[in-house]
This record gives sequence, structure tokens and C-alpha cells, in this order.
Amino acid sequence: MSELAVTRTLHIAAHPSAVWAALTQAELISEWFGETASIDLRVGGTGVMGWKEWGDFPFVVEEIDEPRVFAFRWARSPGADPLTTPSTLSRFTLTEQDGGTQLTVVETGWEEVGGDIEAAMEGNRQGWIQELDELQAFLEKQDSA
Amino acid sequence: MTSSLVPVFAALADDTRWDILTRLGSRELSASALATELPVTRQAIAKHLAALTAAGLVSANRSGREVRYRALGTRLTEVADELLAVGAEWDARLARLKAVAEQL
Repeated sequence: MSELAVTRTLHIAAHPSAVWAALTQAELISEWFGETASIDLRVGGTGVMGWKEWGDFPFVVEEIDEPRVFAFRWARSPGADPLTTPSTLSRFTLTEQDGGTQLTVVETGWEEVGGDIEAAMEGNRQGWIQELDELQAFLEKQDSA
Repeated sequence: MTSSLVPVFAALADDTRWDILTRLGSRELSASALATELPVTRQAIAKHLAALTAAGLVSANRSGREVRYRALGTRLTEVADELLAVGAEWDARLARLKAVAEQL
């Protein structure tokens, strides 16, 4: 499966249980994600990432496999329902490595569209999307053409 | 997320459209020429070209009796920029997350 995705991987010098806590506890989430955060940590549970400047972005927890996988779907617009309006899925995977944690985040869902656009495009969303690096390779080819 | 880019992402979410777009990136082609190069019907090509045109990813140019299409780099650059910005946000967030986790 290939689709448009933003992917990041990094090594954290902390046990997966600590990284898991930072990812899933509201008072810790607000230290690295939003300025404020709330979370109901269960699949289907909701939460909010808040910024004074941009507003409150609701999210829904989609996957919990402590301390290996955590995923949430968050709205692209403040106050919007992530299940019924455009949203992206952020999925974190944690692997213990050298006494620390390798953390990968993949954010997908950029091609998700609203109702009228979807009709205009006649569905056909079975297909895949190239990943960003392939898009960039194409752009570079265009630039040099 | 710029809402105007949503149709662009949607237009890219199809392997045939992507195939068409990459071909139009290297040279101008008519719908008929594309139909001979790809394993899809002329009608399907026309539909995909309409979607790509609507998303601002290709433009149509009349050349004699023929209408030829070419890829528009600007729109794709916007897509790449948007995703690069998202990536940069994650870099900043994850650097903070790392600091938080390592202090626990």
C-alpha cells in the first residue's frame, strides 16, 4: 500500500514506557503538542489539542497497543468533528532499541475530501498516492526539464 | 492545511491520474496520445484529465486541431510545500516530545 504520507523517525533515550506516557498523558502532551490538551485514552475516546492562536482541534483515539502503537485522527479545522470533516490520521509506533526507543510517526489522510469534491472526482479513491519523496523526485525532474 | 489543496490531493489519489501527470510532466500530449500509451480507454483518460484540470494540475492548450495537455509545476510545488511544512511541524513537535520523554 502506498499513499501520501508524512513520516518521521527518531531515537529517544528513554524507555518506551516513558515515550508512551509522553504520547498519551494530557499533562505531558501539552508540553510538546498543543498548548493545552485533553484525552480520553481508549479507542473511540476523544480529546482536544488547543492553541491560543489557532483554536481547539478535536481528535479521536483510533488505536491503542501499549506501549507499541498509538494513533489518533484529528480535525483539520478548529472545533470540527474529525469523523465527519477532513482529518488526518497520526500513527505512532514505538520500538525498544539500544535501551531507548525508536519512535516513528506517520501522518496520512491528505487526500481525504469533502462531499461535493468527492462527487466531482467520481470516487475512485481505491488507487494509491505516491509518497512525498516520489513527488519531490518528479518536481526536481520538472525543474531540470 | 490549505483547503484549496484538498482537491489537489484528491486528484493525486489515483494511480492512473498519477501516471498521466508524470507523462505530462515530460511532454505535452493529447488525450488520444495518452490513450495509446496507457491501458485505459480514451473516455477514462478524458475524465482523468478533467479532474486534473479542475485541480489546477494540468492545463489544456489548443495546437491546431488538437488539444494538448501539460503538467503545471506550480500546483505540485504547493503540494510539496504543504507537506514539507507538515513535516517541519513534526520535527519541532518530536524534538519537544524527545525532551519530555527523556526527563521522565
